Amino acid sequence: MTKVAVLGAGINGLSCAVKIKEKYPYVDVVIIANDFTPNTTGDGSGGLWYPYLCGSTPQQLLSKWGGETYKYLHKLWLKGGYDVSLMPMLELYRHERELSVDEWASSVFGYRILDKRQLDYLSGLYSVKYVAGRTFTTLVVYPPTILSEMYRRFKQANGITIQSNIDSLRDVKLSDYNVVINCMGLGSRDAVPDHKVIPIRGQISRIQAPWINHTVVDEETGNYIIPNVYNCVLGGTHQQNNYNRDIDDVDTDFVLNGCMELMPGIKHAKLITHWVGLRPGRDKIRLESEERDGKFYIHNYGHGGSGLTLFWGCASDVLEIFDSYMNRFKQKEKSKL
Amino acid sequence: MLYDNLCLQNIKMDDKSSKIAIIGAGVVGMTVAKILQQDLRNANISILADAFTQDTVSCVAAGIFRPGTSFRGPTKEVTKKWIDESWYFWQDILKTSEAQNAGLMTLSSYIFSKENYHVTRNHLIEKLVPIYRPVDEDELKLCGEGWKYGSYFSTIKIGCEKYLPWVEKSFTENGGKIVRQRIDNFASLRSEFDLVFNCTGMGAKALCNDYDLVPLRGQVIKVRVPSLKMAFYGDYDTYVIPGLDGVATLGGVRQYDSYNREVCKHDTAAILERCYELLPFLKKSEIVAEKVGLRPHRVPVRVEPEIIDGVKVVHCYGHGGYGVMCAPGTALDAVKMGCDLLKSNMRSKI
Repeated sequence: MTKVAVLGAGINGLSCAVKIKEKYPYVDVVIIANDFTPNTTGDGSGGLWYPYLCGSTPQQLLSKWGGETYKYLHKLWLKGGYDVSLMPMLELYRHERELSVDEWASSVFGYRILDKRQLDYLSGLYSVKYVAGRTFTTLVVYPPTILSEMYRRFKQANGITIQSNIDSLRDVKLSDYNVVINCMGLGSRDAVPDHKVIPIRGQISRIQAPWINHTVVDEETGNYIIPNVYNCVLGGTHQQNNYNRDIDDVDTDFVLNGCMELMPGIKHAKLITHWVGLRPGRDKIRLESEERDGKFYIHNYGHGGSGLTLFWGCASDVLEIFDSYMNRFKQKEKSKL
Repeated sequence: MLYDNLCLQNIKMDDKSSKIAIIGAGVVGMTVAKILQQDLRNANISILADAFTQDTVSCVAAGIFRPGTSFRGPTKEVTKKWIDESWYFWQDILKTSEAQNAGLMTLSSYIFSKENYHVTRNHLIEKLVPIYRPVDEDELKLCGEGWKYGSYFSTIKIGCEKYLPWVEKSFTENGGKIVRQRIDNFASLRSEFDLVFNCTGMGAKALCNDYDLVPLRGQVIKVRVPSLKMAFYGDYDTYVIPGLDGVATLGGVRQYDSYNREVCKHDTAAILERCYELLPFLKKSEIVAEKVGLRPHRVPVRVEPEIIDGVKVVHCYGHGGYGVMCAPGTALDAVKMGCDLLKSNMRSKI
């Protein structure tokens, strides 16, 4: 009798749980996590689809996982009611550089390297000399909505959730489960343990600015502006190995002033809140199975700043690994007869 | 400034400053007022109108910077100049912190067609806006099945519900006067004003007996859909244009010579059906208002001086569906003509 524990209820944990439970309704699937939406790392994030801060994860995996997630988000946008927005994204550079075409370019709409005329226009618009950049049509989610929708789907499929801390993969709470899907994000650092996992601290500010309708990322200053259905996220920082969960005034000034330089109208916008999140960084995303202590683990962590960009594709790969486990299990059962 | 302040160079200010009237407080009248006040700091300027902000046709329009390909000035060169100068006028405001107060925002757009590629092109702005390109094969599926041709372009939008009050505020703060008044003839203004700008839109039909001015009836539906951040166009005058505050404009119709100022429920049904086919998620959005506007259509748009009953008049009307976007370019020409008229000693009809 297969019993699956999914550790972590962020976007990765929820999607893996949903995919497995929906395909295997007679298998027990339980999510065990300390934090549920709206308190996960993903909940507070900008919600932008864009492969970002995932280290040296191979481009073709980013393309595969990201492409599948993009398709899924596009479907949600077209359907309506999921707080997903379609908009142009601009990725801009202040210094000359040769820009290559990302491998995931063919998975998104309208990917282009910007030409001189476009760059001159943008330089005038933002009063900053940009000399290189890319654009494509991206999707921005409002994370709490996606997360609660995923949670709802899981519950509707008779999934069970348990609020509890898991300190280690050897935790006695896991003794009943023969399959453990590890989507603990930053928690994997101590629980696995895996010291390749490091926090990448991100601080953002949210403002009310409904006239902002496209995403801009200044790749050199690190400032970005990401509007969603309800408000607009200004960023940001990416401080490695920084565990500080408190708002840092220096970072606040950097975020607000940097974004105001691009869009002066921001100074008239109403400030809603500041927020800090610790992205689960790693040299590359770990998505693989491991057999240890008589249990079958499927690791799916270390997504850095790309959880909401890759979740659906990663969950598909996790499901595929689970499928082969289930087939093996069935074979074993058959051969016993 | 990307346009010449010809007035400043040519007019010598003396003790007796000119008294100037602008008839009409829509986007054209207000923009003439703004430019005039910048160029002639000592002039005494009054806006005379019987409709303001929400009562103007300008505020029915979504205000996207995208001219119809039949938009026409007296010559091709003038048409291009009006469009280009309008673009730069709006860009000058767009890059400042006043952008959203002035109702301005950037806007990227997809235009799709099931019938032919040419309706997705626009020679008047293709070389002006930063991006105007055909869509990729996969982009045709962006809004679902069935679309065969398309273009993607980047432009701007001017929301007059913000722009008009924004101009009015600075106009009155700088000494401009607003008078709620209906003008039936130019003669009544002769004693009081040295120069009159006729920015009456449809009102010019009666005021000037202009039979070339034809109402082009438009109807739009305003819908709350904050997830919409881009504009979309489909066949048969179908468009969905996001607003500054999460309320989008759905359209439209283009009924030649119709004076019907009432919302027509059959047009509503037709617009909704076409827009829902383009973007199915609109079905889930709340309708907040329906509006009708009679576009003051004229070929060509009339921007020229005339002495009428001894009054120096500069006409600036007949912009049809492109008044919001092209108000600045035409207003700049009108103001230049007005300054020339003020300088001239001609008292009789030209």
